[in-house]
Amino acid sequence: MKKYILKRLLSVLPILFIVSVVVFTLVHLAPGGPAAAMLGSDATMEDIAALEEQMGLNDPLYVQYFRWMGNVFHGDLGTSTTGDTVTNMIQGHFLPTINLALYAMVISLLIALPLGMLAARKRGTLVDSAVSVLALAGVSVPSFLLGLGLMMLFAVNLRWFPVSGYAPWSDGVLAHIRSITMPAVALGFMYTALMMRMTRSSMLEVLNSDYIKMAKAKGVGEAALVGKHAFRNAMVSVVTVIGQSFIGALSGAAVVETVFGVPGLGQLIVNSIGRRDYEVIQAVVLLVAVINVLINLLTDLLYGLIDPRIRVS
Amino acid sequence: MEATKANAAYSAGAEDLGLLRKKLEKEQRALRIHAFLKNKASVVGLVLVLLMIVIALAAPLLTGLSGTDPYTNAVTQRLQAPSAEHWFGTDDLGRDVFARVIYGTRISLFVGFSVSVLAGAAGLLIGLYSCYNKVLDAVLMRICDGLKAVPSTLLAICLMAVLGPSIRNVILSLAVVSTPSMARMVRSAALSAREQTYVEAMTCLGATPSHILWRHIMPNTLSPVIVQMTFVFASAIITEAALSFLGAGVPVPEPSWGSILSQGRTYIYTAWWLILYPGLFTAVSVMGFNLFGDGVRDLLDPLSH
Amino acid sequence: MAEQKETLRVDSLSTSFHTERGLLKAVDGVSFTVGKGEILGLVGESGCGKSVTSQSILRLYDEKYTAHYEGHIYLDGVDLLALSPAEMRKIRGSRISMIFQDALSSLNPVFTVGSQICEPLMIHQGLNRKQAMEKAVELLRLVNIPAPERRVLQYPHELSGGMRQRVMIAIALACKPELLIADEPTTALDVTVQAQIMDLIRELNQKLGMSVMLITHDLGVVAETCDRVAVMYLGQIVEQADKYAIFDDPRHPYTWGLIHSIPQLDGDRTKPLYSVEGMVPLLSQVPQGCCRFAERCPKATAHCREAMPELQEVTPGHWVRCWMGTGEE
Repeated sequence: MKKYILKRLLSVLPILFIVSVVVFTLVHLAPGGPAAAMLGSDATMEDIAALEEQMGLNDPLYVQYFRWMGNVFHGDLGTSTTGDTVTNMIQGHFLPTINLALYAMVISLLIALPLGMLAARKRGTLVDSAVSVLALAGVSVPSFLLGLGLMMLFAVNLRWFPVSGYAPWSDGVLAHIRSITMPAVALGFMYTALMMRMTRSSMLEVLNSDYIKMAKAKGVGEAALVGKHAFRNAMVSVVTVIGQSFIGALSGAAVVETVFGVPGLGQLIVNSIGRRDYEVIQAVVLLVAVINVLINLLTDLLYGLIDPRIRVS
Repeated sequence: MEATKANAAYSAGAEDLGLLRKKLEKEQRALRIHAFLKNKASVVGLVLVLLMIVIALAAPLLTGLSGTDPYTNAVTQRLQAPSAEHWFGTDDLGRDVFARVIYGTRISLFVGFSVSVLAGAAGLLIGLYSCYNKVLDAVLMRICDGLKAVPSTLLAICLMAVLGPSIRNVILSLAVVSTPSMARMVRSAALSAREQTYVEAMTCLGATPSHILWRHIMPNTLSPVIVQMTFVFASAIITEAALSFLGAGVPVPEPSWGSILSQGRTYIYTAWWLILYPGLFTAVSVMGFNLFGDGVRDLLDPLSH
Repeated sequence: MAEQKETLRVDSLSTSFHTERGLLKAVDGVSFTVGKGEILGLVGESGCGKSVTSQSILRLYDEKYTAHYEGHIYLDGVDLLALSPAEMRKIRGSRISMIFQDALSSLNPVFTVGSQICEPLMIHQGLNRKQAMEKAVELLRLVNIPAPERRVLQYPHELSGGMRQRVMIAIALACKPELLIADEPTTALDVTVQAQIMDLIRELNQKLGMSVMLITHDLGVVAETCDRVAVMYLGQIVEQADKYAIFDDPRHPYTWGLIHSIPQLDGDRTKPLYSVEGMVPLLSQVPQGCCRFAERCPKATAHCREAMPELQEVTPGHWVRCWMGTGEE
């Protein structure tokens, strides 16, 4: 097991390198160069040249890349066009997004796992079909659309939740949860659907397997068959989806935060688009990509924990 | 004498076999199409997809019926609820929402179609060549992994920020977002096709790698590609709507569903029609493509379930 | 008394399944007995219903939606089909145990071999983990697995095919069952390992006095190991007798066909090999109202195609279901 952990940890490093190169390249694709884009269409040639010199954009790309990477390792993620350091801005916007994503995942798990297992047990019945329809709706309705719909129904008409705004933990637990529930549901709905489908199909596959039959032949009872024997085997596929869902939630937060006015990383990046604030965009995308790689690493390690066969390969 | 008679019998037999095989293939295809049509979900998906296509193609006809167009501003008629004159109401510049939603169908379908074709072609090329050239494989797959590390919506936003808003850039960005997974899928289908014994046999017979790649391996990758293209279509519609909603997608005054929804957000207390109609069209199209995609997958690749 | 000499008595067992094509009867009025300390071989081609019979004895199928049982299965006089699910659970793994064909897929890949052996011990005998583990090591020793203390902590994929099969036998023996049902235990193994496993089963049968119901399509295994044989075709028993009677004096044409399909080392090499004509029909197309083997039978008469023969005792201990098999030859 230890060898497996070490192997996975080491393999992460080249991936992180590649990710940083890709992110860097993406941002520097701007036609005309980032300086021209930042200054706008009525900048003079001299202004652009001056800014390019100042930003070090005349150096060869790889020099720029290493300069950026060097800064990143020192904690310097660049300076925003607003004048603030990017690091400060990210720190200021980080917490709401993480809260939102985590809350969305918790709601999703609480709904998806039991419903998925139920649908597998009661295969072919009305319950199963209902779950399938729900799952279809989940992947077909985009999160911001659902957010708007929820907002119309629960905030505008029923007035159960605030229309927008975000109350941090410091405002009290109840206020925080009230402000974050609708965005979390809107964000999580799609992943709830995906996890439900995966749990159901994974459970079905496992429940039909020979070792379940054998366990029954040993005298194992219904509850232990499902809860102990089947569950752990079904979890490998489900863990994958959970990891992917968290990353999706982080990125989908961008849109949902705009709908509900949550001041998180999503809002940060959306506002940066209009300002052509490339340093911010670059840093946020890098951050999310790195989190993604780490979460994949974590899921791989979890697999090894759940299924002993994977530790060997 | 004996030899020529035997040869004649052999070729006649081979011909018969060829005919028999064609007949069997036709029967099998008919069976699978029959199974597709029996599956209610796939039929619903097909119907919805066709409905959307018809709406998109017949947009001028439909707006002719309603007597409106998507671009005319009429500030005196802002934010009016649905009426006989404006079937879906008006937006905050007085434009007819019905016409805008109908023309929005064109935009969504055009974007979806272009993205899926582009991603399909690019994925096919990248996946197939990676399968055959170790150096290309290492380089291309690393790039794909790097791209995949950035979640799709975020990547699309980033690309649009860099490239600037226009329909062409939206299609380009979404294609870049969808290609890596397509390429990976093609590559793994190609790799498993390459392991087949008949490929080894063909190489022994002197077939060039290029010939094997295009005539024998590629056809095996087509089914998963086509299935994936329908799902790319659906997610392109969603992502384009999200981008336009954020103001980073199709630029105004083009009537993308996402931009109408964005207005709906601003006027949520007063103009429910700005959310309901574009929302309905979005959900229905995506659902249609998803169901259709499931059905196509059962048709072409029934074992992948 | 007859009951004390029998471990298992199956009486007119029928098992039907709910499918898209309606209710299909996989096992139709099957009756046989397994005596105390006896090894009964249940033989037949794939699809004849032998596995369904064995799984019906343990009531392994889902009874709510899928399977429907008729008839009686007496274990020491108690009808298993009349028991409640909770009572049936107490029988599985303790009084009747079963081993399956593919040990790799029948063992849970995420649990150690030891914990899977402990499970029936902890469920049926109330042992705690420590006691059960000690017993598990003993059991592994009993089935001739070397270094059992090490093996007990390993996972199924770390063992070889033969060892996995022994582990399954160890699990089955844990609670000293009266009857062991072995469903094609050697089909997935290669020949030398096959021999070892069959030797082990025979050894355990003699040492522990445990009855065995051996399901197989391999007549060679039957000849070496079994005391009595029952031959199945399309859900019915067509012949039942002790081993020597079956091989020396097969009365049913199907049994005769099976035996003569085995190539002989000293047979005539100029003649083509014998095979039973035709193919086993689908369950949904089983011929009704006549002998089910009539279509493929070289000795069938008009009467065979009109009426279903019953299982009859032609000589003491030798039962045949055939209009032609009673008296001739």
